[in-house]
Amino acid sequence: MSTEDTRRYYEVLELPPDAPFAEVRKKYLYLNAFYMGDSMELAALNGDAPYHRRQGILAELQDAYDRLKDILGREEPVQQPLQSPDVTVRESMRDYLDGIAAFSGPILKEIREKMGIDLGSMAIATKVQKRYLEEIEAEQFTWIPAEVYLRGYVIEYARHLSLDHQKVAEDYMKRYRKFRSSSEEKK
Amino acid sequence: MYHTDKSCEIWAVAGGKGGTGKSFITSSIATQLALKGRRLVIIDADFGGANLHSFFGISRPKHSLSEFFEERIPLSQIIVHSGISNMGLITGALGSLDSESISYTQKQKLFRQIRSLEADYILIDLGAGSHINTLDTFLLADKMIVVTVPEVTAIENLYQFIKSVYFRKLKFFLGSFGLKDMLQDAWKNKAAYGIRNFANLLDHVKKSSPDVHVAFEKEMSTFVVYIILNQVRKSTDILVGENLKSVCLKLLGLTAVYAGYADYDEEVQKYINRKEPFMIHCRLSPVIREIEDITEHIMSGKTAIFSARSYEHGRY
Ligand SMILES: Nc1ncnc2c1ncn2[C@@H]1O[C@H](COP(=O)(O)OP(=O)(O)OP(=O)(O)O)[C@@H](O)[C@H]1O
Ligand SMILES: [Mg+2]
Repeated sequence: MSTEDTRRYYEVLELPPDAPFAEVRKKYLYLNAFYMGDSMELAALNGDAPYHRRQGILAELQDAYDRLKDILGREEPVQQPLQSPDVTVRESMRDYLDGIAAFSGPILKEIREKMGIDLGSMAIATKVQKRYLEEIEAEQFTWIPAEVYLRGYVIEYARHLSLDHQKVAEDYMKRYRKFRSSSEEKK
Repeated sequence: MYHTDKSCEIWAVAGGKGGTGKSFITSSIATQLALKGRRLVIIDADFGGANLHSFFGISRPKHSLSEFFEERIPLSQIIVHSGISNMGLITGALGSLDSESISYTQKQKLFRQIRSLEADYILIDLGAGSHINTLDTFLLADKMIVVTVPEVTAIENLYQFIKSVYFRKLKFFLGSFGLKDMLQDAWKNKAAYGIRNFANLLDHVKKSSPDVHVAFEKEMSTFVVYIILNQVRKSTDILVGENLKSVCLKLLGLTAVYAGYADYDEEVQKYINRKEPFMIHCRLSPVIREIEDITEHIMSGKTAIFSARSYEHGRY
């Protein structure tokens, strides 16, 4: 990795290029939560903060953080940012969720159904079209989305269920990449 | 005609919304510079709402900008003493003058004379709103400073103001390429071009030709806004400035520096009402130290660094 790239990652995280890893991590968690949330600084932007651009920023932040984590050679577990208060996860539910090793489309569907949330209301809350939510669950894509969008949608999905959206997105995107490369091989 | 070997640095303060504390902050920063031994002139360019003199305890200023506009008296001859050593004051016109009555030629003459004033620093206090004269005076500055408060309406006005200034500069820039109608055209046909927001519009301009793109990056990269957050009432508010900086960078594509914040302190109003300069007489207020920091950050061009701790305790 060139120093040029490294500098760029620090820039994305709005940090000086000599910031230690602990700082990188804190700033990443902070900015990630900020661009995910509904703060007055974003609300005041009106049309200048469209959904897809925010998703793009989130993807950039994630990428910068992941790369810097590799470079700085730390493997601390990522603390989960604040959870969305929309759905409270009950205790029994928590046990069930803790038992999940890796998230996938069918598992997300199962969780959603256990929580009694229908796709229609989820589409309204997440502002992601119902069709895409269905495709995420089925892992069947009629439309091949750019990864940042898909990732954004998966994060919205996971947030709505109060899941650890970082982990969900990570697991899901890993599967998605595998799924895509194998479907390309078949062609 | 313009002085190219400018020895003075011009700082202009604006910000969109009224009553956020622009005049208070400008007069305080000016006082801080004077206390540090810098020679400066502070100008009240709030055409129509002049009151900067009050922050220095001056009730009936001997001279004002109306003499410049109406009697053609040179700017250097209408400087009054601010009551603080090293600092001259050019007070705004009280009464007849308003922004609409200033002609283009008068404005150019004013800018020329501001640039050639004898001082280390020239500070310009601007009025609320985004009037074209406010925008042009703001663009005259070497350091463009905005003051806002942690309130959604003030922040909305701040974005509007910053975008208006940026457009104004962009228009001058495109004019130099013989493309002065591009912005108007882009806006009129925004549906056809797929322009839905500020960032789309900038992309549209950049895409127009490689030459324009290169020059755009060069010229517009000098556009830097210093953000000051005033009337901070709780520690979590402090990060609003940091967030605004981030939003400017990431969503509007403009460079911003968070120069710092000043607490809300009831003493401020008391001193203003008593017509005593706050910075001179209220040394125990935390705001003093904060103004010192802000001034330092703007002088050095460095952003205020708030420790990583503050992120952990932030709202998010
Ligand atoms: N840090 C502060 N703490 C407490 N009060 C403040 C502070 N800053 C400003 N104020 C109050 O806000 C009032 C308005 O301040 P000021 O006149 O500087 O605003 P302004 O932005 O210049 O307004 P205008 O848009 O009308 O020019 C002041 O009279 C003062 O009482
Ligand atoms: Mg004022």
